Amino acid sequence: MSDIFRTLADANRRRLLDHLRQQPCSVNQLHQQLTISQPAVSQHLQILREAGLVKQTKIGRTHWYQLNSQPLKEVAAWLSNYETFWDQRIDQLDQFLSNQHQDED
Amino acid sequence: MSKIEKTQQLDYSIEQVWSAMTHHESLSAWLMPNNFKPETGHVFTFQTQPAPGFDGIVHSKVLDIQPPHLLKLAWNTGNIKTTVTFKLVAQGGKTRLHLIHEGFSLTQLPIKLMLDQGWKKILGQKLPTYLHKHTHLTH
Repeated sequence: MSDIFRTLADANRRRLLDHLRQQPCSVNQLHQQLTISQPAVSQHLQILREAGLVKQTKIGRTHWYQLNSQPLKEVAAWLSNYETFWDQRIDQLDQFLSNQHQDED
Repeated sequence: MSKIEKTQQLDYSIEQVWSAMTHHESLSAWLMPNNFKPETGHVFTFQTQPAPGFDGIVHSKVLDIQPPHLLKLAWNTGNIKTTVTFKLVAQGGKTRLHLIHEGFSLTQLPIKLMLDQGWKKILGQKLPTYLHKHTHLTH
């Protein structure tokens, strides 16, 4: 699993992802539409591919890049783990209070 | 996406709930072992067993404390800097607890750390043991 933190820390990579969210693009299209130099686009795409956030498909002589949202879904899954964590903790608080004040009822 | 909120009605007075939330022994019993003190600015940790991708330490600080209504804590693990706020409202001898865990942002999330759920299991087994002990000590 790649380090999404470092990957998304770069503003241009976040712009590339936002753009790819809408439709698959070639390096050239990204270069023109986002006014980032072509070598920089290629380099960012390479890093995004290593992080699993972007998929590459070759059609003819052109490489097309598209968003792979799976790692982002995993982030959402992590948040859902914290949901569970707090549900459990609040239950344990309730249980703790119940144990502590049992004699008073 | 960037915030978790929980609301729960507890059948205990606001003073009883506040007490369970602001003593380090009771916090250890239901949340995690810690060296909490109910003082604004107090820097402390919640500590549990490390697991792969998680060093077992939540770095915390009392950001705000207004007895018996509000407790706001820093909740920092690894690169993740968040806050947890507990708000209490008295409701005729009972208490409504409102919890807000916020400050997540996508750019903060090292997925390697996030995806490991091992620590959750450890906590899930370890804390009930604390509660069990506590029950035996007090009855």
